Amino acid sequence: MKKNIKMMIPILGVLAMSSNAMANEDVLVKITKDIPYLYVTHMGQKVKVARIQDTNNRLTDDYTKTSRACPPFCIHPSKVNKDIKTIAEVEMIKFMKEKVPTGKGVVIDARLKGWYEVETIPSAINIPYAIMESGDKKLAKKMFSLLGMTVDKDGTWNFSKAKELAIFCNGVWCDQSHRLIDGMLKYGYPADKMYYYRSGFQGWKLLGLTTVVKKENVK
Amino acid sequence: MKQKLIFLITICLLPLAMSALTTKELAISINLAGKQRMLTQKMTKEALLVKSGIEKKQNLEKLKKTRDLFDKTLKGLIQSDKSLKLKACKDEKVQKQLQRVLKLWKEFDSNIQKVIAANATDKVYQDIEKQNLILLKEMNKAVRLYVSQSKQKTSKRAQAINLSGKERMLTQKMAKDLLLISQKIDSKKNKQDLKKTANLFEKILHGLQKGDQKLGLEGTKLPAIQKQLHKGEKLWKEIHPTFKRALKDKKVLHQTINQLDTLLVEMNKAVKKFEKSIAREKRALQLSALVNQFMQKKNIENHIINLAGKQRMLTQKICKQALLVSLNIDKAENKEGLQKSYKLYDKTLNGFVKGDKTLNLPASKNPKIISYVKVIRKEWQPFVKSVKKVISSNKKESSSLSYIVSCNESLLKKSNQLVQLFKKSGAKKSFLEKARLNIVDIAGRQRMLTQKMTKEKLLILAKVNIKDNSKKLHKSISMFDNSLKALIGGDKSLKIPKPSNTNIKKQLKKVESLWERLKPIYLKDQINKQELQTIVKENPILLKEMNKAVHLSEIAIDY
Amino acid sequence: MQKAKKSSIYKSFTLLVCTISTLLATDVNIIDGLPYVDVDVNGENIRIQRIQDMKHKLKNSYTKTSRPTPPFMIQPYEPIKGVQTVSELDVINFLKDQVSENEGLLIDARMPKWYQSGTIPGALNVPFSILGGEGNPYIDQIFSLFGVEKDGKKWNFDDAQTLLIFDNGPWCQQGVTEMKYLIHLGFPKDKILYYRGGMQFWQILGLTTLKPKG
Repeated sequence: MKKNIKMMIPILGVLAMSSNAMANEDVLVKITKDIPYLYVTHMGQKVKVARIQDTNNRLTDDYTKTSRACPPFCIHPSKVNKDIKTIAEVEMIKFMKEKVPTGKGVVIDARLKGWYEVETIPSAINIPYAIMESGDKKLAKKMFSLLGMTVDKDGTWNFSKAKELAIFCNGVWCDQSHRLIDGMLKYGYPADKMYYYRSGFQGWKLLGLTTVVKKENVK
Repeated sequence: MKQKLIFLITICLLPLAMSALTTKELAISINLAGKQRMLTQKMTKEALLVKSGIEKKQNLEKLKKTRDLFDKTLKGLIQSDKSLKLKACKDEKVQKQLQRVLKLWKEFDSNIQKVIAANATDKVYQDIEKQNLILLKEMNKAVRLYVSQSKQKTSKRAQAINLSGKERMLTQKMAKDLLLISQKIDSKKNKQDLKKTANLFEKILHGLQKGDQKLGLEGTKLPAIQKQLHKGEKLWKEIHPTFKRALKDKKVLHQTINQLDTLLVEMNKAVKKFEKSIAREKRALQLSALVNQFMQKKNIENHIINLAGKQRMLTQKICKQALLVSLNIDKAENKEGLQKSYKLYDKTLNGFVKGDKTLNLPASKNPKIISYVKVIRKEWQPFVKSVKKVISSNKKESSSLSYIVSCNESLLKKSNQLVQLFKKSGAKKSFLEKARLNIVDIAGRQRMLTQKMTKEKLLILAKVNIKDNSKKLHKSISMFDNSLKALIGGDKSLKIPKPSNTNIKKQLKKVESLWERLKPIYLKDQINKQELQTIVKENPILLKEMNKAVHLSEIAIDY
Repeated sequence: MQKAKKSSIYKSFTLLVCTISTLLATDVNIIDGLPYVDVDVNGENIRIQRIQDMKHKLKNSYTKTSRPTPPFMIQPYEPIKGVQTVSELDVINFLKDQVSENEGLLIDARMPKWYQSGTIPGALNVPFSILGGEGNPYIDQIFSLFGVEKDGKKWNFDDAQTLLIFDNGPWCQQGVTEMKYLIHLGFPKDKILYYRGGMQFWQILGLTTLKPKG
């Protein structure tokens, strides 16, 4: 019996690999050439992140609105500041594939809780900008510790093991991620460990990428 | 001996006449020649300032510089000057005029040199006063000759550049006139001139801003230029009222002349802005001309491939029509159709090599194409002979018919080879273009299959090689079927994406519904008279609708 | 009685002022303090601004989410190393500062039919395919319009202008293909800029598009 199972495993492995290979061929709308889709964990549940396969699908919700009042919803420049790298979807996906599963990186939804609960990017955790903006050093210390910061014997904050953060909010006209980033920089979170996903949730949806929607809101 | 000399000189001058200035070089010449006009007035003004003792040392320096610049530029216009980026214009008229200016300049310059050497008598100044206007006039003629060299369509703004350039000269002219009047040189005449010049300056300024039909100005809509002209206007409104006092008070005169220099600078900025705007427009026009040329060439390549693809279809259509004639189905109609088909094939084949205006085909320079068309011709000659016999005779013509039946597929193969040759011969294509060509190729092949299937069906009905032709028919049917499915739903192996364009989708659906009705009849082993009629009547419609789909695929922006 | 009259007059006056100020003020600016930018397009003044209707939604094919891959792949943020990626504000500043002084070109890399259907005001069409292929006769002429000079058989890019290139959007290949062709021909990477958002993002922000004449 054991022998059979032992034999089964490599066969299953081969089958799994070949089915993956077949799957890559079958996927009409991939994320990147080598990544047709990937699995992430969101709130303890496994979620498949893929692109909508229906080539006729169009976005029709409020993320197609073109003219939000400016101020305050103005078009933002390419970079948040000169030290923080701006990224897009391909980088986000690679981040979710390579850094998130090992705990080296965290995807952060910088919007207020209400936004996050309605719909968000799979695997993202919510750090509403308001927390960092209104918070004090104590709160920052708490937050940063959860993100891998350690405190040296002399009390200095050690970010050498701090996680990399891929931060987003609603889109190029939204400033919630800016405010979160400003708040974090204020208390010393290293700029070279933060990434700004500028196109945000709007860019994500415009490419038909999977989102996590709270069941109660699905009518 | 004289004749020989003249001959030699002409030979030597000939290559010079051949080389014309580029647009950029001409623009620089026009700009600097225009500036020369202003410099004639500036020099005169500076000489008069020296005479009146206003900032004598500085104005002497300025005069030297202006004189040197005029001299260098003039020589550069005549024989090129790399440092000024000037290339001499070899046009005879321009050179002649420049020589005229040079002659006047030598005289004028001798007087300016006297001012610089502090050797100037009253007579010298009188001469300067007379000569400067003639020099201005002749320099202006030269500018106009340069402008006429420009063969390109100069937009209305070219006049704006010309007149705003003139404004520069007018500022210096007014300063010069003020000095002449204050030094009581020909006061009455110069007072009149000053008034005229001031009015002209104002008129042109207004025309540049709001337009003036008589001056050929249409006003400016560009905010950046409007702003600049408004700056000049504001300055002018400050300067003009000071003229009266300037003639009485040396201090005010000095101030006014300085302000006129500032006005010169501001007007020059306006000229530069106009020039930049026109330069942009010229560049945009040149670029779009290049792109149009390129796209036309591309379209012709695609067009050639489309027609070559059609030739494939015609080989099958000809055979089908010949069969219909022999089966006595719509004989007269099909004889006519047969004639049209072979004539079109023939014309197109010729057109590939020699070009054909009505078919929009250019003559081919490609030796591979030319030699392969010869190969096709060899097969085509006997083939078309048999076709002609089928048309002209009233008998069954079974030998001609069997020739057509046995040879049409070889002709089809060769016609397809020609398509592939054309595909390879064009410029290197990007993956996007390759994908589009692929779609057109497969959709184009569908056209041919509509005729092939019908031909095969008719052969079966005529009891010719029933087994063979049944096999072939089934192959054709499944090829058509699979390709149609691939076109409608996309197919990775064939590298055909699924269309999202609504028009293309609609057209393919149309073809599909037509096909759904015809397919069972093609598949059926035995068909009755009505079913035969259906195939005969509807296969051309299927061909037509398939052709529409090909056309839409070719032209759609978003497939 | 008088007091009531006064207050009603005051009310209607305030209403008038408010109405006028709302009519004059722009609600949807490009950035705070910048409601529009004027661009010279062949002598005509074209105003780039945002659609003011706050209910307006984009409904055209730029709202499609799923184009087949291949050929439509999502571009990385920086698809070519050494070529800087820029966004809307950079495009607008580029038009204002460099294009207006003839020191830069905004280039629409798409095929002409796309360009004709609507482009960014001030953009010139150089379809990517015109720069491809070996021994292409058009390249010399196009390069000279870019300020590239020819020294004998070699090109001199010292005075070449900066090219800001865009296409349909993050899933389109035409812009990246054009940049690759340019670099292959020797065009310096530091004189190329890439507007990744393209027409899709330009339109999703409600910015003015222009249908070129002719």
